[in-house]
Amino acid sequence: MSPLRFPTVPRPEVSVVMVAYGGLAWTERALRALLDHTAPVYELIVVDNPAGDGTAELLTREVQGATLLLNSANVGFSAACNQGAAHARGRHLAFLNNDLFVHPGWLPPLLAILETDRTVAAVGPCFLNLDGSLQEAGAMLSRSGAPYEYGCEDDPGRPQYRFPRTVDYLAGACLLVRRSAFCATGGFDPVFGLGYYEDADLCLRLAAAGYRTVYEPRSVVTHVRGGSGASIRETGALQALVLRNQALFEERWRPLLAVRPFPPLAGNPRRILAARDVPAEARFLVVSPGFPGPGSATWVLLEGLRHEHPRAQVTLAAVDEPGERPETGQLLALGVEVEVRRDTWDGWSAWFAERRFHYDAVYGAVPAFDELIRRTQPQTFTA
Amino acid sequence: MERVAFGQAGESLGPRIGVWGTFDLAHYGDLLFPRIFEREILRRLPLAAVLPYAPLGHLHPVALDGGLPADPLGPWEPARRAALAAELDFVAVGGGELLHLDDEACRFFVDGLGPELEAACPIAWQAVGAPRAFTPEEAMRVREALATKVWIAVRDEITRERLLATGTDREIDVVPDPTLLPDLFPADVLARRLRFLRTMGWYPVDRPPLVLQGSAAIARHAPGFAEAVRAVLGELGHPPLVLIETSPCHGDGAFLDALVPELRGPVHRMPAAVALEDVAAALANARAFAGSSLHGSLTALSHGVPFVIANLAGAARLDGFARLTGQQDVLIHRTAELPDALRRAVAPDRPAALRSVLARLLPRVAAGFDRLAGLAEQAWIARAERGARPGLPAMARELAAARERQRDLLRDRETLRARLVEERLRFAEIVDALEGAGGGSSEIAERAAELRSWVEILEARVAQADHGREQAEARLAGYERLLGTRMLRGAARLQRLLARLRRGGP
Repeated sequence: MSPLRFPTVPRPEVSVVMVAYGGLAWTERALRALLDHTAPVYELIVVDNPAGDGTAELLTREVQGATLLLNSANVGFSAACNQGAAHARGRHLAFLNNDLFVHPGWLPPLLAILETDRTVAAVGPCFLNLDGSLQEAGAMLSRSGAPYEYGCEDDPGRPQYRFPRTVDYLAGACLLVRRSAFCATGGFDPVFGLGYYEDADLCLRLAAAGYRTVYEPRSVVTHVRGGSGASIRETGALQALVLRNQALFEERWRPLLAVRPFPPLAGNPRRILAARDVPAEARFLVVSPGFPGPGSATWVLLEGLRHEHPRAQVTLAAVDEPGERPETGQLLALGVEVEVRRDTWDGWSAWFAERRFHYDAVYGAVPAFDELIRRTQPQTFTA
Repeated sequence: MERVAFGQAGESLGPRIGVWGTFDLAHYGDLLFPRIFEREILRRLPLAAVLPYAPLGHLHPVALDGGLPADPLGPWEPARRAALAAELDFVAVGGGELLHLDDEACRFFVDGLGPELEAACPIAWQAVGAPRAFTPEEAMRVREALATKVWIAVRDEITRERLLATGTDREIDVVPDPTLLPDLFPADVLARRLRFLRTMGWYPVDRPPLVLQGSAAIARHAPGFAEAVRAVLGELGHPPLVLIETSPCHGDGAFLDALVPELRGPVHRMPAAVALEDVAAALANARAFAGSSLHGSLTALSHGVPFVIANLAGAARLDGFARLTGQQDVLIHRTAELPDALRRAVAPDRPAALRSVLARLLPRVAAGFDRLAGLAEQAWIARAERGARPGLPAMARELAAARERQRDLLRDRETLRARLVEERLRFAEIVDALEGAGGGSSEIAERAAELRSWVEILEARVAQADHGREQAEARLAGYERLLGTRMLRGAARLQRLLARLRRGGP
């Protein structure tokens, strides 16, 4: 295996903090992906929580140009991240798991958001499983504090997973955080022990400080999940840890969770949608008798809504042949959710039923939708 | 909590205020200054933009800057000075011993922008320190620099005396270092960082420690320092020892390297690579602090923690601080003085004395910022009038008030909207159930099953809470029995614990 020589960058834009706890089988691959797919604008800080599987030895032997912090005991994910962050000189921190492989071009879309929008403090990518299925397109919370990974096991190519949006939180396995905000809010909280819920807690603290957490699907990573933290699973302590931390988390954030849907979210499309759009300050539905072309009135309306309401959820429901168009990507990049179906009552009926009472305003006119909108979005009609 | 946001480059409806200092060094006190400055100025001038500058700035990033690097001042050349004067309405130079006349990097701090440019962009000195007396040549230069400053505030009498000794006829005010201000960091942030320090084994979990610090300048005193600490540890109840570095750039690590073997016992050593919040948390939760760091003592004082000022290298700033705060009895110049100073520092009457010091000094810090904000606003108004925009300041004040009102309205709106969204979701589920969408009675049965599992979760939590209460009651009963014994009847600490338990606390 050739050594992993990381670049020496005097003034890094990003400080990558990778916490390793076991996961020997994936660590070298994760580091190689970082090295191969990231322009030299970063410094690497690796924190090893010893798992006795040879990961520390691998890091010492093979990694050059990085700051290696070898702990003598497992201090947990939160403390290890904080420990690494204390060495960081970049404007932003990128927390990466050692069982996570970044794809080419993963970093620039994330950086672009932080650089252009000062209201955003954390941004993260689309997570894929090893088999290419979707692992998570941002995460959301139910009233009990239980997390729900949006799109888990689904096709990552579906439009609802391909537009950037404000989310409740993002997994700490790959999370880019504005360093000043991270420090100002005190970093990850070690109260969560060895792991679980610290990422959600951080994102909610950032939100309490006035920041947003944004999901950016143009950045893609593959996450093994379970490739690190192996001994927690082996001892069977995982479930106890998750329950303990969920209780801590729910108690701390109860007032905020009170406006989330009741669990379970899985299998309930309406609740999933409601949880997904909780962070949105408004929800707009734009209906169109055909897929709008650039420059059309509907297109201009969509651009205008996104510009005037950057924190709103904007959905386009267009009656047209389904399928990808060149313009689809443009709208998704703008942050518009795109739903295109044929002119069939059954297809649209179920879609609107799932979104009963969901929108604040409906724009556009599609005669076939009049009854559906009257029945499912009566709140958008003014007296 | 407030967001600290440097460099609001697009903001043009308020003064653009440069704050200049050595904010590119790994130094706790220096890096605190721009944050405090921005917070205090924005409280007074909400639309101001505060822009920190340091000799190298972000060209020399340090981890301790917390992701808020300064911009580089650059070389003291006409073009650069002109650019800064055009960019800024007002400049405050501050936060440390900046009057190093033999250091070209500090040229901006002393000579400013030059008299002509300072007519358009005034410069004030705030909490500046002079490390030593000036030579005749330096005195002339300082006198000329003082002549053009719109306000001169130094952090101690010694610096004031040194400036007056240059022959200046300017008024020199003494304004305490703003590190004294309370709540520099939110309490929950300090609590979180303390948990982090304890998790890492860098801070004790059981008892407040004696926190020690020193720089390379006093490393040769480490053996005597350690001996003095050992001499008094028993009297203090053998508190744990925590070693911190407040100024890695001044070789604090070298002092600790020399100290550790001399202490001859277990210590908690915090590494150099920690956050500003970690240093603050370590000091805020200490039994006492003994060290050569001025800002270490300032932070201790602001949290009511006793301290000893270890001025083993004869630094003027430490003598000046002791004089300003009236804490000469805990100022030492020899390690042999440390034990007595520590005894005095932890005496029972010390906390009240420290509160009294703060009560006396904090209004002066606040007044200093009031003065700076006023000067900055005047400078900005003057520039606006010169630029034929005399109405701008009044408009900006109205805008600031409107933004404040808007923030309140948005907050109210968010609260109402959250409730509205939640109710709409509930209505949707009720309507679905009533319409029998997707199966009618099976939908209702599914909803009932969901509600049942939610009830089970809540019942489990209630049982957990009941169990906790039973355990607390059992402990209370145990303490009651113990209190019946002669040995513990008089234990004041246990009495307080019992009182707390009776009130139903943890």
